[in-house]
Amino acid sequence: MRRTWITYLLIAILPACHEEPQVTVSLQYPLVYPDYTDVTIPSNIAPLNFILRTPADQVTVTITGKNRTIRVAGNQKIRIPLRKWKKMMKSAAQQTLFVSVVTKTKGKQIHYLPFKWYVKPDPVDPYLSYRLIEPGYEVWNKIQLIERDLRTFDERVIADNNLNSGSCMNCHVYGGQDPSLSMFHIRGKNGGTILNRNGKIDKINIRNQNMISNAVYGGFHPLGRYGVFSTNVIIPEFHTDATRRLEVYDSASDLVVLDFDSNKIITQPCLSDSNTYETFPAFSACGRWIYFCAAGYVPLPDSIQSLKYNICRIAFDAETGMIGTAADTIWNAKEMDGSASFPKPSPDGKYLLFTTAHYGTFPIWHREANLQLIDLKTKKTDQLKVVNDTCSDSYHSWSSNSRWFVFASKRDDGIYGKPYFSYIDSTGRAHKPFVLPQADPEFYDNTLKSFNIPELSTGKTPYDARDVKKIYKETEAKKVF
Amino acid sequence: MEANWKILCLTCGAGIAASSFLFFHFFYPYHLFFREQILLFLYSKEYFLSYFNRPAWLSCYTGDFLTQFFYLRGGGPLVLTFLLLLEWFLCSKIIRIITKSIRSCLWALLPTGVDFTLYCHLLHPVSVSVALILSFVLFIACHAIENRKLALTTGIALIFLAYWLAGSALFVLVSLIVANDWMNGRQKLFKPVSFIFLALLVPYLFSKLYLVTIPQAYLFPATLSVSILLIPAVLITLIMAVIVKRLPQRHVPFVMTGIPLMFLIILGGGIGSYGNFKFEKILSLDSETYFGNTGRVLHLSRKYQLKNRLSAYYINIALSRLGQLPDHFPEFYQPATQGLFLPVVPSESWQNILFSSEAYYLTGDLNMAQHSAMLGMTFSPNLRSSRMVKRLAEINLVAHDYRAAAKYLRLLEKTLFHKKWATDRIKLIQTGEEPAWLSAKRNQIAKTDSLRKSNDYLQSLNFLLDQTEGNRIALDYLLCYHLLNKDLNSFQKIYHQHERLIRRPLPSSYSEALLILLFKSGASREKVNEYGIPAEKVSSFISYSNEYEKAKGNLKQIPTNYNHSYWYYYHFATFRKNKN
Repeated sequence: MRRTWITYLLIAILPACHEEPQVTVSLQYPLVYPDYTDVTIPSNIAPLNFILRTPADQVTVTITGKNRTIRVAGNQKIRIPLRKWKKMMKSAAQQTLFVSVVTKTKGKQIHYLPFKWYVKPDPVDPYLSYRLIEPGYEVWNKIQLIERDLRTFDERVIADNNLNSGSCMNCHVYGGQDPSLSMFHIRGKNGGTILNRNGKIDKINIRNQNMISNAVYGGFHPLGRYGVFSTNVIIPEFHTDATRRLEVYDSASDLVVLDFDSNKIITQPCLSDSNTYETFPAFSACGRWIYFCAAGYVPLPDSIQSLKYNICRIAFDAETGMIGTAADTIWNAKEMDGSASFPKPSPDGKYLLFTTAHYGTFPIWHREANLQLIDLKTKKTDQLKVVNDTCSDSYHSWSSNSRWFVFASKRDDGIYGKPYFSYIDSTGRAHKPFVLPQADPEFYDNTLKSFNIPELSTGKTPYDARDVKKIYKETEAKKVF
Repeated sequence: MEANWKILCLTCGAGIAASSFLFFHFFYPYHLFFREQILLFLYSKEYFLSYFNRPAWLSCYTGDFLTQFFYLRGGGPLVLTFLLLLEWFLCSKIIRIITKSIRSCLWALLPTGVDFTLYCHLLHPVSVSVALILSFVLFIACHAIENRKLALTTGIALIFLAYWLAGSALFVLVSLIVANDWMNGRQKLFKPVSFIFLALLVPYLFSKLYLVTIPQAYLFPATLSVSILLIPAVLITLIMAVIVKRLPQRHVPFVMTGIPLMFLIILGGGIGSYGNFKFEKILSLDSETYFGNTGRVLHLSRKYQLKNRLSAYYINIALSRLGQLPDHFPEFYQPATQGLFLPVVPSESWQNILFSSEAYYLTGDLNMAQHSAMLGMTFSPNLRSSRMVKRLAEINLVAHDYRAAAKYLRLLEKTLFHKKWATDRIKLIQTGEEPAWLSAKRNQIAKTDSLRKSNDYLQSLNFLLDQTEGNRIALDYLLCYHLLNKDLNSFQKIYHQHERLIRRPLPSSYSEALLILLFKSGASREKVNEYGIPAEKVSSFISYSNEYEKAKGNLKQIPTNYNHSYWYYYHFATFRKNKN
């Protein structure tokens, strides 16, 4: 009898001890970092792990697709299991995934407004390479070129200046996103341009007596035989405004084409005019044009705000290796009241993506730097408002299917660049970008390195840091003439 | 007998503890403070995992973990004392295992003494001691295995494990195993040869995995070649212990006195070789500047009486913080204008670049302060610095760049000792509150933008003065720049431009400089009075002028009471190229 009473009392009391959580439904998105709310993603991307910025004792995230659901719990960090994610993404192409976030804090539950992930069947090229470097102005210490598999979190070091006497390395670019055609520069005593062609790497010193400097910015002809390069005398200066930091301009710049088969430098007087600054060259998708930026001479640095670069193009004949004699202006800086950099045609030849800033030629340090897109058929310019943010959106490269592009953005903090991906649909409309996902979503909080020159490729580069070390130390650079 | 040895051992231990703590706490603390400043130890999983990208991950992680405690006064000496004691204890135990020598606790003093002295070098990492301790522990574990076959296979596995955990301390482990086998009559060649071969091979193999150069692979976690001295120190000690054990009993007293004497010679010689007491003094000025102890900086400056650019730099910062730069700068050694700012150029050391941020921040040149901080951090050994991250957070907070400030503050929130500092500043961002220090700093900075070359101090200071109402610090720096350069015309021009900002009564060196100018221009008494120069100063100038004329340019004949006047500097300071 007594036992029955005790049992009854316990049954009566216990539910009273267990209080129902106070539930709040919020009409706002949760504050997640990185900002992955309502982004458009490719079906082959790694999981979009994120962290909740508002404090919570527990976070539960449910990702709902048509056929599958993934539920993940964590304290602040949400790490989506790779295998489950891949299974979901296999069947999620052209779907919308709904991501609902519920937090629990001291007995209170908040159900946030679910945000969406729009999954596109067009894959992004699976490899991204970038340079990791401190945003330390014009100098460096430890630099690595990294190749990241976008489908997972795997990374590989393809060059490390720790093995190359601390030399600067820069401008790693692919030809047509092809991993068997790429190049980058190593500076310093044993330096040169490391050229990867058809799986073989070589070292070339791209400078002859007529050039004002070693090759700087460059790009490949679609056939792979030619490269076009700028030569620049680069001057850094400092703003007095601490939020603007650095200004970099060219006191002189020209363009040259290099025939990789013969190592012959091809020039044209209109591309090495001392009254004009020519830079940022890129071949068109068909290979019949060279796009580049050009600005008329102004006294520098006094008139730096008058230094505005047009986008021009000049003809190129791959069969004869001849450059045209006159350049057209595609985008007029004066009319558009801006200055262009990095014109990059899409692989399908439809668009030209470029960066604009108020003036100058180094948009990475211009907070107002934004991307713009020209439709090469209609000549209309899209301001890409959905893509751009308030802090330096610049350096970009295309995916081989012309559906995605990656660009470097400092939107988080104005200092450290990160790679963002944006989708261009068949109508030419751009979609909200997302940042490169990381295994640990706190990664970007902890890093003191910038992701610089992000470039997409369809496969792995056929060399690694040890190969680069070998060629740096043991091979003499071939000369050009 | 045994009891006597126990007392001797305890005495050795107490001696190490006392000597290391006293030395590092009272004679060499600032090197230890600075080590913490050039480190940023984060409590984060991702940060922990980053240690696996290099050899000796456990030694490096533990070493950096312990180094963060160098932030505390007495923390560094305590940590080092603990490590050295542990090293000594384990070394003593191992020597006893191998040689059966009852004097092992004495012998263990020698390698411990070497490590002690290596800590006088700024870049000798704590991880090297941790690696050595780990190798001792692995040896003791290996020695406990009695089965020979199991000992062989475990030994091979331990070689790989030791490199993974402790890097080059692997050589100590292998040497101890080989020595132990040899001393205990296990003289088959296969094991020692294969162990030595593996020990030499493993770093080479791992160099490819870790993407380090071959020298780095063999040195890690040491970053300095001198740090590797610890390994031969252990081995030589072992060899000596073996040799001495075989000596006749009559040599014991010599050994008993010889070993402590060697320990003292090692300490004396090592501290003499690696100790840099001049730099310790500079670091004391630097750290106390960083801590905000301005009075202490001046006290130490007067005590040290250093004559170099860096000491002048910190003295000028301290005087400026007290609003006394123009009053007292002639009392101290001034290498012309080189003591006002430190240039950020490739020829400067990374330490100087890191130090250079202080003066830029003080005068309100935020972008140069940011440039110095960023570069100082980039070129520092660990590529991260708690001190520079704090500076960058402050700069961006002052500049209203809250996103950038938040980036650095979030990092600091993951530290042990800077968390509260960061949290307080995050609150400022969240609440929009502007405490007095923040308001004062914001009033100092330029309101519009301009371009200039780095290290163009004059352009920067002039621009700041044009932009701000009351940046007295920048004004004092600019006027003192011209005074130190003996450019009185420029001094006068700036003086007139910003006269209303100059406090009254006139600072000492300003009135002294003005008197020189007025004298040269043959100004009337009324003209002199217009400047508000005190009458006693005028009288003093007249007396000095008489003395100067009497001396006919011979500075030894000038009465010493004028030594701290600007007149003395103006007439007798000569400019020459200075190495420091």
